[in-house]
Amino acid sequence: MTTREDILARIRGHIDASGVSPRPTEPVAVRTLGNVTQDDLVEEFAQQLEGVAGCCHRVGTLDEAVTVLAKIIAESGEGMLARSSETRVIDLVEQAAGAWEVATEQSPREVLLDCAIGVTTASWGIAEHGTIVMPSGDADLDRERTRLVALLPLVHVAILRASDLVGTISEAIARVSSHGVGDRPLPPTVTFATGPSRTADIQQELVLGVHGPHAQHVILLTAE
Amino acid sequence: MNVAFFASCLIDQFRPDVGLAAVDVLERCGCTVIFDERQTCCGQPAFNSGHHAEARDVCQRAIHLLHEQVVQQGCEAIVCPSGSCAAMLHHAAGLLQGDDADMAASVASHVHELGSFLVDVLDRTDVEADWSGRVTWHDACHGLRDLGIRDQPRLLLNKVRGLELVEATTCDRCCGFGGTFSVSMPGISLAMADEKLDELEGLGVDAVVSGDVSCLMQLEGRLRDRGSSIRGLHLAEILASRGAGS
Amino acid sequence: MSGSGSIHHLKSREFSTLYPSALENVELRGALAFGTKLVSNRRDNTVAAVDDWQDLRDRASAIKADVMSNLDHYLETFEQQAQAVGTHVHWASTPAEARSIITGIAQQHGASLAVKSKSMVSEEIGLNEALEQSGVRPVETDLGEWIVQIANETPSHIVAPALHRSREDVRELFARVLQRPMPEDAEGLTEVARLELRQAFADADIGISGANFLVAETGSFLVLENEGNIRMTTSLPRVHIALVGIEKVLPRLSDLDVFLRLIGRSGTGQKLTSYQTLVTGPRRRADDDGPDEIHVVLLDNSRSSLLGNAVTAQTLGCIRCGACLNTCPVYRQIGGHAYGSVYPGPIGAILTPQLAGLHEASQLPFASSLCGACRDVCPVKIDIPEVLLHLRARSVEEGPSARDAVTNKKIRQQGGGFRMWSWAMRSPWRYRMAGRVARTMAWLAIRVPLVGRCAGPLRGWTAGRSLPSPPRRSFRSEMARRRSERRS
Repeated sequence: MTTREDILARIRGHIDASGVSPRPTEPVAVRTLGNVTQDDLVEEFAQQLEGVAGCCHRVGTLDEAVTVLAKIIAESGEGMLARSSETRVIDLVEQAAGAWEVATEQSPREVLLDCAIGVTTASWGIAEHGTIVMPSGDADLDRERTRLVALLPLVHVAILRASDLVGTISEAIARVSSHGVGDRPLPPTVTFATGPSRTADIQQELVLGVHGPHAQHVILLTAE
Repeated sequence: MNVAFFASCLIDQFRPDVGLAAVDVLERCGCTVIFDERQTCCGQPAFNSGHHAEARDVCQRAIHLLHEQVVQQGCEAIVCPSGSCAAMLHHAAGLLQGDDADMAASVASHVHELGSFLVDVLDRTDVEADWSGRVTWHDACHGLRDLGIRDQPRLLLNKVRGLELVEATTCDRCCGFGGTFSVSMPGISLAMADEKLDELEGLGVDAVVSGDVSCLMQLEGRLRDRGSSIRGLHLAEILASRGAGS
Repeated sequence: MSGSGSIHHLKSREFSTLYPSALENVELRGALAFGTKLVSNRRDNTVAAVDDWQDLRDRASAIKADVMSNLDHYLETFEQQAQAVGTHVHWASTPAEARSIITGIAQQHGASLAVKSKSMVSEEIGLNEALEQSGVRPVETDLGEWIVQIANETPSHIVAPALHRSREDVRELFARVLQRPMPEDAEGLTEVARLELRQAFADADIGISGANFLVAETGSFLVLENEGNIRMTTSLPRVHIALVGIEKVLPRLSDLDVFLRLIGRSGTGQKLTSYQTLVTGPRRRADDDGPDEIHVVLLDNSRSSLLGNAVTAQTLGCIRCGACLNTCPVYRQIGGHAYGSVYPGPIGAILTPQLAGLHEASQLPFASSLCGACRDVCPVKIDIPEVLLHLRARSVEEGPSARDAVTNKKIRQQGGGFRMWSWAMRSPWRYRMAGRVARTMAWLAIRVPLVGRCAGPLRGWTAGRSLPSPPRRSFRSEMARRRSERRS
């Protein structure tokens, strides 16, 4: 017998011996926040994100986002910025980057590791936690590579459309799930990020910014 | 109401005054208290130490006696001034087998811890007690977590004339008794007691009150060793009081 | 605290030889009291804000019960789905098998550096030692785990590995190991660790993590964290290996909602940890980010044997949130190292003896006052006291067969003691006599100090506690007196 068959046989043997057979659980319905408008979702998302030391910038359109990004860049002093290849991101960075050198998702990782700011989109936002959801490498969502650009730089700026906000993590999981139906698998990676990275491993003292971004900005496009 | 009284061996042998006080309170509330002298122990010490065979024999005996009191002596309730022993009687069905287990389940449905009996069954919070002093309540683990007793003793204490109840943040932390645990791992057991007592000594209370004599033995024993003047009192002793105090 | 070099054992040393020095360690106890109280208060506050907390726990517990009684089915489904997305699935019965699978993968890729994110299963199988022996340098990347790694220690907590260390302690450690002056504050120390580890992330050939959950329906695994080290570990190296206990599988992706709502709140008092990474296979295009190869190693290591009984099977529901450690009055006094086991605290006291064998960790089921605080906070409703009682009964049934003499002696002595006790308790007359003897002994112990100090079990009691002055008459004789007074 292979180890696999061995383990499975042991499992079956012990389960049979226990005589326990609870009914299999059924999937529960998707959990929602009830009757909420998009404005409510925007408000809740912003509040939750700020609550975990993230920054939510509410703007109408992409044009207004330029000002926000320019300000974040100005506050970061000098350095290099990394961007993904989504059309809106390219546009935005082009207008806001100023004197900053721009790396792209195709740049070598040594370059990305040196970038101070990374700009990507987020596919969805979760209002109840202020979370952004970033799938990577899915054929259908193949707009950009977010995985390293959103992770390696000290500051991550995500562009999110208010129409992509959902209320709960359960709804977000359902959205992710809908990209993995039938023969089509889920994206290789889906990252849920809520605020900047943090630790309390030294005497339970909260420190913001460890291996992941030290600052998490979300530019929320309320008119889109 | 006819009430079968299960005293618990610890109260019987080491704190008879608590048992007598509990009987006084029950009688004051209109109960006829029946104490069957054949009773001994509920079996918990052996059960908690893993000696189930020995526990089973003792527990079975207690269940038979109490069942007889319910069926033959018309006792409508079994009252025990110990959350720990009451919890053991509640768990007995799991330890016993066959008819004994059924009998244990039936007995368990009649078993009440003293404070819970007064409040939940008799619907009394004021038992006309009078005791002057400042006290804090210690939630004994089994009463609190196995039987859900949290509000009842506080409701009762709040109605005692002259008594001031202050809450400790460590009220629901284990005192460190834990039966044989306190003897086999005395260092940890004492450290657990000290964590509570450090706070109690800062509260300026005259007494720590609890529903279990085992916790009180642990806390009092440690208090005496620390040279503290705080006393350990059972809920029944406060409720039975008609004017004494700290 | 043991700084023992040979640290890679599920169970290393006996509880009774470890806890006394923990009790005497003032610094340790200060750090413990501070850390555990802070985290459990945070947990209580966040949990109090969830209206349907009890329903959530019921739901989680039902899902876990479903998983455990259909575990073979869910594992096979997971394997099938994972393979369909290109994940390699390996099965390991023993720690040795798991170690050789992982070192084999490392050697196949000529790896010399592995970045690791915190995994208790990796501690359980002694993976770091095995990697070193096969020429791979393992670098822990979770801050707490890195602290204990450079200190050559083991984690003392399953969520906060360095909970036993104060900030000053960490500063001294960093200064000693890195041979340079260190900043005073936690922020500065964290930055030091970040910079030290950044190069390791960039250079590592393989990434190794655990997984909080496997999802059968999609062949995915989910990892939770706050620091971003897991995102780094799962994104940068070309090869990723997730080492996971077989019990971690969930039926559906939608089940994650239930567990995500429970785990952050229970573990750290956060509504949600900063990052959740859901991995479903390696990258599918050459120009994408992420590993080329993903391996999932499914470890049994006796877990399957727990399925044979409804009481013990509960243990496998554990999601390693650490809430039971933070609330446990025993853990709070002595910390994790005193358990001499990879898994400390209440969950360790039931898990270790069941995985390593009761005779190997015979003292742990007794290292509890059975207060039940752990059961109250457990997000999946494991009745830890019930399992402790079950294990105690089993160790009595098995007799004095433990590897450790303390337990054997105790079982023998208590066996005799309880047989006499039971005999006494079964007759009112013998009971009265026994009571009289006990009261006399107590009376003597108080008045004759020598008796108090020497008299068997009393000795444990009288060290630090005064005995109550025993009453002359028992309750039953007082009652008899009352009855006769009332009659007359």
